[in-house]
Amino acid sequence: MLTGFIIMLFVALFCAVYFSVKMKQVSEADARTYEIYDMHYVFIADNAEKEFWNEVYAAAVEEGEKENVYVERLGENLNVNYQTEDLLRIANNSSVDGIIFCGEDNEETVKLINEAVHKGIAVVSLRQDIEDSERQCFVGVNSYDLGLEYGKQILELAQQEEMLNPRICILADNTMSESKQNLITFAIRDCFSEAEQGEGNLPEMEIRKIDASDAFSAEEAIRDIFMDSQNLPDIMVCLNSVYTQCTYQAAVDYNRVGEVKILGYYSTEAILDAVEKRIIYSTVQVDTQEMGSQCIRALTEYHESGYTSSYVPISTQVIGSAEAKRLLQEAEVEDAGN
Amino acid sequence: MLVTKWNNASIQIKLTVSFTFTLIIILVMNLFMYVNINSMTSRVDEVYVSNVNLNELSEALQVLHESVRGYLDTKSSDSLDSYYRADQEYRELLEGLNQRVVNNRMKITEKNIKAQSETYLETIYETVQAKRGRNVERYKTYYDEATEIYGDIQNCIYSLNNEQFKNNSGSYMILLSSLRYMEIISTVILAMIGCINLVMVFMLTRNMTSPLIKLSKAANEVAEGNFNVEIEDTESGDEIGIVSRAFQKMVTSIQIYIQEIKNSMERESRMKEKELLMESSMREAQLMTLQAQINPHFLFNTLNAGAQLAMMEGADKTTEFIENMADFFRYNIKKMNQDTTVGEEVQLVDNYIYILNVRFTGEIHFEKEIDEKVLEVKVPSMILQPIVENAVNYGIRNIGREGKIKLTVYRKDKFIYLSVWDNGIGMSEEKISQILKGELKEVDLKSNSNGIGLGNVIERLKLYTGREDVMEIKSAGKDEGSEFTVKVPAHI
Repeated sequence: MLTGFIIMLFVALFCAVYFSVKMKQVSEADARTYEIYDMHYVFIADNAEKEFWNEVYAAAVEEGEKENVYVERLGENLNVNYQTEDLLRIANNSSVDGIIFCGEDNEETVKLINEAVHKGIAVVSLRQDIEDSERQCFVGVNSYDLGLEYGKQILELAQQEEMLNPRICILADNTMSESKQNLITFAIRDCFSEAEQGEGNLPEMEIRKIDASDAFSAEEAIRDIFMDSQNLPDIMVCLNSVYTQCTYQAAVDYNRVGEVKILGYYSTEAILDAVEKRIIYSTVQVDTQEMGSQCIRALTEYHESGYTSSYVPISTQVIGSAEAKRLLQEAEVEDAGN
Repeated sequence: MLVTKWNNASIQIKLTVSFTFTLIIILVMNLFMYVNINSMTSRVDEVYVSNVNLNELSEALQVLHESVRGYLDTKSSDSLDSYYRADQEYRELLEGLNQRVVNNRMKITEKNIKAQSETYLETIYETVQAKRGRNVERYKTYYDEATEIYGDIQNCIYSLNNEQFKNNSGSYMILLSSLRYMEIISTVILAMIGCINLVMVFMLTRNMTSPLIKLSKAANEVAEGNFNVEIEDTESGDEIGIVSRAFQKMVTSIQIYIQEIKNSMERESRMKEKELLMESSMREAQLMTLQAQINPHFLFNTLNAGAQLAMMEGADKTTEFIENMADFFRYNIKKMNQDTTVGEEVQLVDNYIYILNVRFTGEIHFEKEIDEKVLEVKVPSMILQPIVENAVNYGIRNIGREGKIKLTVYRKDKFIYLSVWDNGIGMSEEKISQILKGELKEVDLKSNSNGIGLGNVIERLKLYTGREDVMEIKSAGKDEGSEFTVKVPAHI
């Protein structure tokens, strides 16, 4: 009988413990534990080219974890679709510790960045430099280097296809500064000059500016180019991932694959797929990982020492058909692994 | 120690402890789960508190902005007052917002709202100051700036509120399902404990009743007469244990008592049997005597008269003969119911032989060899004469030669031997054993002078001495004579 009592006591205790554990589990399912960080940086980028910026942001977050910095993607969870300038204003008023900004280079932006800098907020401009502002650092691809990469590809194409004075259309958004545009065109020309193609075989270059403020203008503008079949360029150079995707889609839709050579930018799965299928001749890949981490490093360096280098170049890589195939296979294996 | 104490506890204590124990456990478990589930329920109630707080914050901000607008419009002291109050209220509400840098989007938005609000409050303050200083351009600029920030903050609050609502709805669903889950668990636990309780109570009552059932079975068996019941030895010190042990003791005592009664009854019945036998033998002897009673009395009186007549006539031999006869019959009458001595028995034999010798003109040669020391030894009456008569009637009568009878009385060890020897026709072994077994009783009766046969003698001797070897008969064979030896203990 005493054994019965003891058994019952044990069962009751066991049940109580089990119940407490279950309660705790349930409570923990709801409760969140937060990690506290030293710094609060905001990442402001355009909503276009989401995949590209997602990668950059992920790299920045990863780097931020190492430096005990929380990187917030401002605007993402807001119900209103703010422009980058508005987000910059909110960041200013929110007294954050650092701003990573990629947006239009205009007066408003320059004013807001300067305001932020005066408030003691470190600002890094990303990909697109805000040249007249007092930003601490610019992290991005040197336009001349980018032009050289494209130049090499165009030269290779011209030689392959035996093009004489190939007509090149460079798709850039209207916020791109004149100097940048010039650097790109110079670099392409330099490539042809160095290849001793002579004065007679210089490419005909046209820069098509696309209105970045209008959400769907890129697609329309690119289709306009294809519709004008008489003046269709031989080579189209896309300076961002959205233009790349729009161009190759238009090439497919208007049955101009092979006729118009496309040089892309960035490597989404769709772009890589197109490169592999040779719809896109090649694409220039920007190291997003490096881009993201360099932003954080620049800001942290500024916070620690009071200064940082004003320009951090990001390396680029050209991806051809074979490379695209390899990358796609790697991604497939990775997906299967997950 | 505890086990011993428990075993020795009374049923009342056992029952009380058991029920209290189980009751307490169920109560405690119930209370425990009730408190836990209650706290969870209260958490469910608090799920949307954050939304309420954000709404309050948004409203307070609106009131603040409107009060500033009112002040800018009217510059009234009322509106200024309401601005101060709204400002104070909004600041208080801001206290509840997170201001640390944490890896949670909502918390970070809170931090942003708080920081923007501080900028907004400063701008508003500057606006009011500029209005007070009548710096129209400045306050307009500040107000525009403040309005812009106000819009940003409201947007942030709105977005956060939305996100929190989504999140809280998720939490609410989780909590609700958890609550149901916990309710099921608690029900299962309670049911389980209840079952164990039931089993325990069952075991307890069985522990109590099973010895009682055994006891009642044993009692039934005892009632049916089977005293060889064994009750399992119980170590329990409670009332049932005590009753069981007492019952066992009682059954054992009854067994012993019954055995004793049996023994004494057996003894008694043996004695009674013996008594009855003795009595029946006596009665038989008495009956025989009574049958012959008229003759001895009459003969005795007649013989006395004859003896007196013979004496008067001077016929000595006749007198002696008649006296002998009278003695013989007197002995028969007197001694039948009581013990006598060896001497008197020998005397009776003398009388008898004398009578016979007169009757048969001295045909019988009687010798005797008596140990004088044993003459006073007590023996049953009428044991020797029937043997002698038997020797005369069946031994030496009609043998054609001289009949001899020898009576020898002697003591050997603790016994007296009375031996009657004759030289008559003798007898077979078969007959000897028939006589010793008393199978020739009826034949004896017919021809005996006083009606007492050998069988009767043997029977009485057996009863008297309590032994079986009271007579020995020897015979060498036909015409070789026979010897009857009576063996009686000397101390009787």
